[in-house]
Amino acid sequence: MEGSMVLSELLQLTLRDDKGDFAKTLFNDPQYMEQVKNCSWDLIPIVTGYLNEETRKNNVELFKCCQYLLHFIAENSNSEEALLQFISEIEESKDDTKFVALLQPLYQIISCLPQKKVNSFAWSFNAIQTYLTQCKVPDYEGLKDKERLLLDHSDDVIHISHLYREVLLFYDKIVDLIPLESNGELKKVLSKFLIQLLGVPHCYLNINVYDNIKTEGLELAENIVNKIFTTLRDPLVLSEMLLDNNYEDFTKPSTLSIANLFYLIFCEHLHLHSVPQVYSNRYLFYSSTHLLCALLSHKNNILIEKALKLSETFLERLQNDNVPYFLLECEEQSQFCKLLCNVIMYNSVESIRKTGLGVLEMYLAIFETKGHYLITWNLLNILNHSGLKGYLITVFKNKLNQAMENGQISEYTGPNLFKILTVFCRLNDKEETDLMENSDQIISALNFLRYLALKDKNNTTKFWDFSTKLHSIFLEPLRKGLELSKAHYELEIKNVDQQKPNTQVSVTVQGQYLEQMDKTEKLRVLQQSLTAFDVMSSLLSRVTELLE
Amino acid sequence: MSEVDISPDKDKGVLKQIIVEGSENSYPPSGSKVKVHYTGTLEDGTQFDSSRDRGEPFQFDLGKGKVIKAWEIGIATMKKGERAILTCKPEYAYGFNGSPPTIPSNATLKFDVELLDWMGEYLNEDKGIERVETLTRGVGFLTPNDGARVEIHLTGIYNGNTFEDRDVAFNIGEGSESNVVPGVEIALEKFKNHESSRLIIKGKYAFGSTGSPEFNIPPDATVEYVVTLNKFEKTKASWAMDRAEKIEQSEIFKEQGTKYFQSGKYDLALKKYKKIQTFLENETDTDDAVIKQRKALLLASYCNSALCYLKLKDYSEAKNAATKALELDEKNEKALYRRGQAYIGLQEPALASADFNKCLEVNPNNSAARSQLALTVKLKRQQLEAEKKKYGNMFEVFARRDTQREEFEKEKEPNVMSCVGEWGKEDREREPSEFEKENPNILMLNSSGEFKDM
Repeated sequence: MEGSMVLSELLQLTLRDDKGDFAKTLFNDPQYMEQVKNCSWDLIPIVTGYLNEETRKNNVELFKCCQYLLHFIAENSNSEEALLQFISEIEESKDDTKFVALLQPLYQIISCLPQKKVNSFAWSFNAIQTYLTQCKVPDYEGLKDKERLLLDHSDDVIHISHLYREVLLFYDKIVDLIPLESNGELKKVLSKFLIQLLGVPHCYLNINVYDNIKTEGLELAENIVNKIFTTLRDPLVLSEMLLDNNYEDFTKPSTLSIANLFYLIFCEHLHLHSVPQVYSNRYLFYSSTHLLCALLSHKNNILIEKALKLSETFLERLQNDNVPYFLLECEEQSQFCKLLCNVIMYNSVESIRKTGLGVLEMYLAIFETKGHYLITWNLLNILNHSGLKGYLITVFKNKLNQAMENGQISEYTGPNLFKILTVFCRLNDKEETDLMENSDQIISALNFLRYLALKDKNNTTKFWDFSTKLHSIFLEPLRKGLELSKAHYELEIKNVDQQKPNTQVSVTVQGQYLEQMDKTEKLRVLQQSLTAFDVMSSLLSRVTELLE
Repeated sequence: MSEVDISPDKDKGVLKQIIVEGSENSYPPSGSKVKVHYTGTLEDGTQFDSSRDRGEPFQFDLGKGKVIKAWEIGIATMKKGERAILTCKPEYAYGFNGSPPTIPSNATLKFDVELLDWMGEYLNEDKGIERVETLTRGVGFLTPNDGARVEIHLTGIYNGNTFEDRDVAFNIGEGSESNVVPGVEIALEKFKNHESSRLIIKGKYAFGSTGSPEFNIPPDATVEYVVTLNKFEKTKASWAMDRAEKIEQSEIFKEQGTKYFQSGKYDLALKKYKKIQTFLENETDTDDAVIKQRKALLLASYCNSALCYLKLKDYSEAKNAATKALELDEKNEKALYRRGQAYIGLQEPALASADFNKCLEVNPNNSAARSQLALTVKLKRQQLEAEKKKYGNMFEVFARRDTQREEFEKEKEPNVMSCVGEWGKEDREREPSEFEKENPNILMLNSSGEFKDM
C-alpha cells in the first residue's frame, strides 16, 4: 500500500505543477502498473479535478493530458472498481465539460467489463440521466407559434441539445455493444433508459415544426426514437407495463417519458409504422389515458399542448364509436375529464382553453348515450364554472336531439331525465342565487326546457310528468330571483347616476368590484347585467308559457 | 381451401381461408396470450403492417378487446400452427374512422396470419395459478380490491370429479374463513364482474402439503376450479355507476357494516356506512319505489353510524348522525333514542329528555327510553347540585381571596423600621409573585426563582 500512496501523491504534485508529460510517463512506468490497476479509486478524483471548463480554456495541454490519463485508467485498471468511481464522478459533475469528458472512458470501462452485469449498466445509465435531469428547461411563456423557434437559440436549449448529442453518441456505441439477441434483462434496461431520455428535460422542449423548420427538440427526438426502436418492438406494451406491478421498477421508464414517446409516435408520426396495426382504436385510447392525465396534470403549457394534441389524435379515431359507458369505471377516465376541464377553465392561454374545449367535445362524442349522460351528470355536480356548465347542457341538448331523431332515447327519459334536469336547473340559494354569476348555466337550462317543451309534445321523454316539480325547484325561484336582482341593479344604477356612494347595495359583476371603475364604465356594466336579466326573463316567460 | 364466413352474425364481416392446416385439435381459449405472425394488406394489395418484417412475433391477450374485432373472432377459430387469410370488413376492423394515416376510412383489410402458439394467463408470479380459459367475459374494467366483498359460485374439480360446488360470499383476504382456497382468492382480484373462468391451481395455492381428506385430495395436488364472480363490492364510486348500481352497492356496504359492527369493529363499520352516504346523498329520483329504497338505506346508514359513534363515545358525531337520520324521518324511534343517548353523553339532559319523550310518543312501550328518561332526570339533578356547589363555594372563595389580597398589599409596604438602606432578608418576608418569577432578570432573582441578596 505504501506504493499506492506514492503514485497518487506523485500524481497530485505533477498535475499541480502542470507537468502533464511526467504524469504520463509515471502511468506508463511498469513499476506503477500495479497501482494503476488497483487504485483507480484514488487516482480518478485527482485527474477529474482538472477536467473542467476552466482548465480546458486556460490550459488545453493539461486538460488533454488528463483526458489521456483517464482513458489510461479506464483501460488498465480493475474495471469494476473504476466503474463505481466513474459513476459517482458523473453524478456529482458540476460542469458539462467534466460530464462530457467522462462519457468516453465510461463507455470504455463498460465495454471491458468481464461480466456484463445488468446493474453495472443500469447504474451508469442512471448516473447520466440524473445529470441530464438537472438541466434548466426553456420557458416558452408568452411566445406563440413561430416565435418559439427563437428559443432554439437560447442558452437553455443549446445546453440541453449539446449534452443530448454527446449522450446519444455514447448510446450509439452502447447499442452496438449489446447484441440484439443478448440477455433480455440488459436489453430491457437499455430500452428503459433510451425512453427515459424523452423524459425531463426533453419533454419540455417545443417540437412543433413551423415553415418546415425542424426544431432542435424534434431533431433530438428523431434520433432518440430511432434508437428506441432498435430495442423496442411494440410501444403499446409500455403503457400497460406502467400499471402492472409485476414489472420491476428498474425496467420501467417514467410516465412522462412514455407519454412523450407516444406523442412523438402518434402526433409527429415518428416510427408510427412500428406500431402493430391490429390494436383496436378503443384500446389505444383507454390504455393511454393515464399518460394523457400525466401530461395534463403538469403546469407547463408545452406538456399540456402535447396532451391535447395526443388526445385529439386518439379521440379522432373513436368519433361516434358508441364506446360503452363502463369505460368510465376506470378512474383515469374521470381524472382525464376533470383535468381537461381545469385546462378549459383556468389555463392562461386562450388557444389552449379553446383546444381543450374541442377535446372535451370530442371526448363526449365517443360514448354511447348512457356514457354521455353519466359524464354530464358527474361533471355538472363538481364543476363550478357557469360557462362550462352551460356548454355541457347545450351539448347534452344536441345529443338528446340526435337521439330523438334516431328514436334511441331510453337513457334520457323519465327519472333519468328528471335527475339530470335537477342538476341543470340547480339554484344553490334558491331565489337568492347570484344570477349574473350563473347566467350561462341558467340560460342554457332554460333553452333546454324550451326545447323539450317544443320538441316533445307527445311526452315520449316523460318530461311533462314533472313540469310542476320544475316550477317549484327552478322556474318560480328564478322568477323571484330575477325580480330581486333587477330591483337591486336598477337601484344601483340610480345611485351611480346620482353619484351617491352606495351604502346599501354593492355589486360585483363577474368578479370585478364596481368600486374600481369610473362612472361610465360602471353604468355600462350594470346595463349589461340588466340586459342579461332581460334575456333570462324573456326566456323564462316563454318557458313558463309553454309549460302551462 | 375456400373462404368461410366466421362472423357470428353471418354477415360476411370476417372471412377465413385456411392456407396451412393446424397441427393440434385445440383452439386458443379466451384470455390466453397468443403469439402470431401476420402481414396486413389493404384491398389494393398495399402492405400496411407485418410482424414478419419486424422480425418478432406479435403477442396479445385474446378476448380482452385489445385488438380489432375481426381478430378476436378469427384467431379464436384457429388451431396451433394454422395459417389463414382473414378478410375483414371495416365494421370488424377500423370502421369509418380508420387508423390514420395508414388505414383509410371504411377499409377492408386482409391479414395473412399464422398462429404460432399460446399460453394460459398466469395470475401470480410463480405461475401457480393459471386462468386457462374465460368462459364468460366479464363486464367493465373494475376488479375486486383487497378487502372487497365478493359473491361467487365455485366448482372444484380433481381428477375429473367435482369435489365442491357452491355459492359463497366473503371478503377478499378472509377467504379461509369460508374455506375458499387461496388460489381462488388471488385469482378473483383479476376477475371482472360476471366473469366466469376456469383456473388451474397448483397445490401450494390449493390444499397444500396436507391435501384435503374431506375431499379426498392428496398432498400437493393440482386442482381445477371454475369460478364465477356474481357480484362484488366496488370500494370507490366511479362515474360509470348508475342509480341502480349505487343502490346495489349500498346494500353490500350495509351488510358489511353490520358484520363489522357485530364483531365490534366500529371504525370499519363506520367506513362502510359513510360509503352509503357518499354514494346516495347526491342522487335525485322521481320513482317512489326507488326513493323509498334510497331513503331506507340512508336512514339505516345514519342510524347505525350514530350507534357506532355512541360505542366509540364520540357523542357529538353520534348526535350529528342521528340528526341526519331524523331529517329523513323525524319520527324514527331508533334515531330519537340514539340522539337522546348522545345528548346524555354530551351532558345535555334537557335536550336528551326531549328526545326520549318524543321516542315514547312514537312507541309508549319502549321501556329502554323510559329508563333513559329517568337517567336524564337524575343527571339534571346531579348537574344542579354540582352547580350549587360550585357557585355556593364561590362567595367563600371570593371573600377569602379578598382578605388575602388585603394582607398581601399590606405586606408590600416596606417595614421601614426593620432595616434601613439595604435589602435584607427581613424585607423579603413575602414570596416572589408570578410576574416576578417570570422576569427574574428585572427583579434579580436567583436561578431557583428566589430573591438574590445584593
